[in-house]
Amino acid sequence: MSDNPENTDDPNRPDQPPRSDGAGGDQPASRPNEGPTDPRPLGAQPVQAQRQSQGQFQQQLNQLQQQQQQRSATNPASSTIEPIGSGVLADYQPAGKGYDENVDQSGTPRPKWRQLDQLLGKVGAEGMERRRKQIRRMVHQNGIAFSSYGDPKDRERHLQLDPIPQIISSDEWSRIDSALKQRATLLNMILADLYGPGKLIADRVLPAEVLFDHPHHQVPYHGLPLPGDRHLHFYGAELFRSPSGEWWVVADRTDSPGGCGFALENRLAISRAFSNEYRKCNVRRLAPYFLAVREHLASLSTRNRDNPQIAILSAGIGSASYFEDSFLARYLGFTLVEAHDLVVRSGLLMLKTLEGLTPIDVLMRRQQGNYLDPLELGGGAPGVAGILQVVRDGNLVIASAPGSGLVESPVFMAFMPRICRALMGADLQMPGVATYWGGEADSLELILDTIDDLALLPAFRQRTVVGMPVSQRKLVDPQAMTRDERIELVRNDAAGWVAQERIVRSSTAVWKNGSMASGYLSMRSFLVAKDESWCSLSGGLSRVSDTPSELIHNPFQKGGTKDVWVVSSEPVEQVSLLNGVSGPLSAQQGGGFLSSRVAENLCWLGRYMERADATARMLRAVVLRLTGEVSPAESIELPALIRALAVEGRIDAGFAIKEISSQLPELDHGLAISSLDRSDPNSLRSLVERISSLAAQVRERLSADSWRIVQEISDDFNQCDAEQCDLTDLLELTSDLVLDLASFNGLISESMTRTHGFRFLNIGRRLERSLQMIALVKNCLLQKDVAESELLEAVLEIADSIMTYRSRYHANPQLPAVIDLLLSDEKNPRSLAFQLVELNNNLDSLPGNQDRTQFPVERRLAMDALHSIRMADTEQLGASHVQGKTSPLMELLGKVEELLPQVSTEVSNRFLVHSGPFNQMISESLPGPQ
Amino acid sequence: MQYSITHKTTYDYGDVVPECFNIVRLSPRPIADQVCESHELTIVPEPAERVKRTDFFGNQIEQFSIDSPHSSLTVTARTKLKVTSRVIPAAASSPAWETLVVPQQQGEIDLLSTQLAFDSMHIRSRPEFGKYAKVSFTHNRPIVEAAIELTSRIHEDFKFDPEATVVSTPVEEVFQKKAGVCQDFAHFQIACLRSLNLPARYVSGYLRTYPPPGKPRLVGADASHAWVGIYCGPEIGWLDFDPTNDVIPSLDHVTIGWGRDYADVCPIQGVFTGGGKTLMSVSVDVEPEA
Repeated sequence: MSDNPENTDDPNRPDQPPRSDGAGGDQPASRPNEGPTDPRPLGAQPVQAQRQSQGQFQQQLNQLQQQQQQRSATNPASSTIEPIGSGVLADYQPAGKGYDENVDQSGTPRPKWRQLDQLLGKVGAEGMERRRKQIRRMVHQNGIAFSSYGDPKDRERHLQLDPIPQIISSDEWSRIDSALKQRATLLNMILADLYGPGKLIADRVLPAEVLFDHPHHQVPYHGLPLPGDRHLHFYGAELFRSPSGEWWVVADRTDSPGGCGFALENRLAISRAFSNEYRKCNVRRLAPYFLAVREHLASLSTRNRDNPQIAILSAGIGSASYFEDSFLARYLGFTLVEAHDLVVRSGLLMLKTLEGLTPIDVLMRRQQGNYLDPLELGGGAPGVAGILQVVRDGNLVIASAPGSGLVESPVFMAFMPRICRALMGADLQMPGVATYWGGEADSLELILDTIDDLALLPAFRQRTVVGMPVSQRKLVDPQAMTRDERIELVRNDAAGWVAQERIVRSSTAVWKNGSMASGYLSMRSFLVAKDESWCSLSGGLSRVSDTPSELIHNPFQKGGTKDVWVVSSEPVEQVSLLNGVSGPLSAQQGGGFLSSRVAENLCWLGRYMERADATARMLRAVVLRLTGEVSPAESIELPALIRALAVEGRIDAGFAIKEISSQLPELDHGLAISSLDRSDPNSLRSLVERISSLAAQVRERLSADSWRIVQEISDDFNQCDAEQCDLTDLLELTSDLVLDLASFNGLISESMTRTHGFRFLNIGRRLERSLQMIALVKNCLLQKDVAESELLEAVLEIADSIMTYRSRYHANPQLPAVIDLLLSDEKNPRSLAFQLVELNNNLDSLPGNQDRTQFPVERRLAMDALHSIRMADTEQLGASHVQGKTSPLMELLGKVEELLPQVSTEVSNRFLVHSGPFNQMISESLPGPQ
Repeated sequence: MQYSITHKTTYDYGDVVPECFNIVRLSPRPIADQVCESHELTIVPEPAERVKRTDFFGNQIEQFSIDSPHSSLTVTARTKLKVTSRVIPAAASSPAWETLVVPQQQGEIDLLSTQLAFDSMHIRSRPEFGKYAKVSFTHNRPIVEAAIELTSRIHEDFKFDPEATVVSTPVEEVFQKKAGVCQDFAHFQIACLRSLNLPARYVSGYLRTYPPPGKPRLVGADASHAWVGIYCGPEIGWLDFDPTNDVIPSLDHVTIGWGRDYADVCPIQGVFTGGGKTLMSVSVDVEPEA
């Protein structure tokens, strides 16, 4: 039917059956594949042509108004609707022939959309475009990314957020809300039964193999004493709207559903960009859901009711959900932890903090549960040995309970209607996509007969866990197979596959390339347990794609998202979400302890920042001399500087050997290539990438502005193509980096509270700056018998001390004075002595160091270093160097250079070492007596 | 029969172990024909925590953790118990094996036995295992009769050879080599039964050994042993078979516990940090008391 030319011409599409607006009440649920299977876009050719040729919004409007009138004339149904000419949907053409979210079949905006249609119409095309860009910036700055931070191959995967929200009326929402609460309750009942009495299997409602052949079925999950028999605390439902306008469930997420953090970030961006429109539309707030999460988790603590310690367990920086984990931790005020931050002691789950072990009462589990306890569940994935026994002892509640992911396998979709009747004596309020399991003889026959109309999915959802083998079924893509191959696949492993009816999702308006376009929608909803029932997020995370049937079950996949507005007819409580954020939630912010891991990351962040700073300053000095007035070949100091860069591994060692004049063009290019080489861990770019990765891991400790600086640094480098980068670009890049790092340090010292976190960042900085200063002096000044004044000046410039020197000496630099200024002048904030003083001060403030009767080892080592510098007559040492006796000064620097890494090791041993990876004990072999 | 059993396991680590967590399964399970008189578990160094519990299969296990640095670990179980002779049902009157195939066709499904017909970590059903079993499991044959024959055949066909396999050798390879130790034979027999959809379990314990005539019994030269339990219907229940020795266990067998396969009943299982290269030594002494 799609080749019927009339279809593309007639905006009213008379071949479509009439559809009701909204869900179909108590009418029997229609099958989701009722709709057209090939809904190619009904491009309204005239409109698009006009848009391209003219691009003027007002002109478009005029023409569209005319067109609208024509539509009204041909469609009596829409003649009763008020004129909508100025609405943003006026030139909207739905992509598919199924249900459309925004307009009815006559092209008239649906009632729930009328107000926003008019409001956005007033914004105009240019306004929309401007706001789209604002939103993109906000999304970028907030770091809504789902890739692993600092992984160069995974860059630029920020979520796209469409400026046009999805609207759901409050009536419609209450039906969704009720249906999802029923489903969440049911899923929890299934878990309680399967990990408990197993009546569903005993009574033949569910085949035994659904449990016993489930790859994630683990016997240690059986019989855990869970308060209220609650396994499921968080539930995510993947929904789509069928051609008949009803919502259907396409997948359940019960292990650790992701996406609610993205939904909230989306809301923050949209409500800022469209603050006026947002206020007028009576949009329900998202904050109550997050408050409910807080309250629910706090209510779970059995051991410590008054002041429960709640932590969010993340799989770490390498996992797709890390952004959301850290966002939730910041937003909810919980401590973000990883498995190796935790240890079981005295029957309690403990967090390793700088002050020692702190018990955790409630763990919000965002790490997949399959290998949570390496003692009982085996496996090589990170986990906490003995954690299940803590649950058994009643000293810890994990939400959701380990093993709750069992029921998100598609095979359960095939049984949900039956299970619902068996356990609840009722029908599902919201149908699921028709799903057939190959393990049942009747279904298998049906699958093989109608395989062309069905989508094959592995029956058991096996999450890929770092360190564990990938399921074989995950490695094949049935959708890419021929019919025969698919039949073969199912025949050989019938119980391993389910078939789902191919779904046709509703179309929705999106803003694309400066005008209105259309895509296909799916929506993820979120629920959190609340007392005996559930609380849903009044909104959600919608995703838009270009094809109607594509199965998007993963919110972290690349693609467009939408904010979901549940709109009321009455005004909602007039508290803006932003007030909600800084009001009740953060007022309760606890989570005051600093985990050892975060302290370590802060320390390394400080170190990498200083290392990048020193490298950028050195590179800048070289570039200035390569591009300066004096010919590089005649520059006296250049060879020493290049040599110093090569010694530190920042540029290829080859550059240091040859004469400058013989390699000038290569040097120009090579400097940029070496500095921007991602594959070299010592290059400036790699240092910057380490900074973004470390900053991301301590983000909950950084202010929004500090985080933005890190983002900007990262962006500068990402936008820079090594092949195209010339010396001018490199000069700008290094200068900007020096400035950005300085502002970062400024913000830190002005706005970061003087907690242990601050101290660790500072210890890292002081250690590294000391080492960098020693390297600078050794590599640049002490390699020759006589350091020329040009070289001395360059070193003062790199060490940011040239102004001090000039104001003090009014003369050409001389080695003794330079050495004194750079090494022992405690008033010079760049000097080695200054760093050592600061290092000692910071070490002194670490936990437990105040009440000690004697200095701890790291403090003694740091004092030794400081005293060595203080006791040395550096001026004299500098002077003796001129006479060709290099050794005393070299010895002094060598000593400090040896002491500092020891300080670092001691600090690490005392405060930072967390449990290493667990090894499985070898098992007794069984020769067996005969 | 009265036994005094000592089971000592020593781990020597090449490097310091800062912490370890372990599960010990050395306490004999209280069953009808076996009474445990005393059981004592000594752990050196002294654990920070010890807790006893019953696992999913009803075995008595003990969990312990050590959180101070140590470079060796010794776990010694001393057990005194009494074994009475088991009643062995009349093989010919046991139910036809087909009636026990899982899932049962009628009535409520028995979860405990049903689950033991499914694949487990070390044991996967295969058509070739089913084919091997079918030689004994002929049409309508009483299950005990068929199981006795299968046990004998495995004993005949497979060579006892500790060099042929290791703890992790898959059943497929055992079948190919037709050689192995008690664990391999038990796994293989279970695999045969499960390939026919019959519930079967792995039983872990000890066996009394007899010194060669005229020689004294060697102390500490015994070992853990393993055999098979087969579900023979609601009346008989579970009946044990020892393919390594081609017997139905009775007075010479001491039961510790059972599970789906070795992984569920492994005597000591655990995780530790650090440690470097680890050496493990085990000595078992099963002393019959007059």
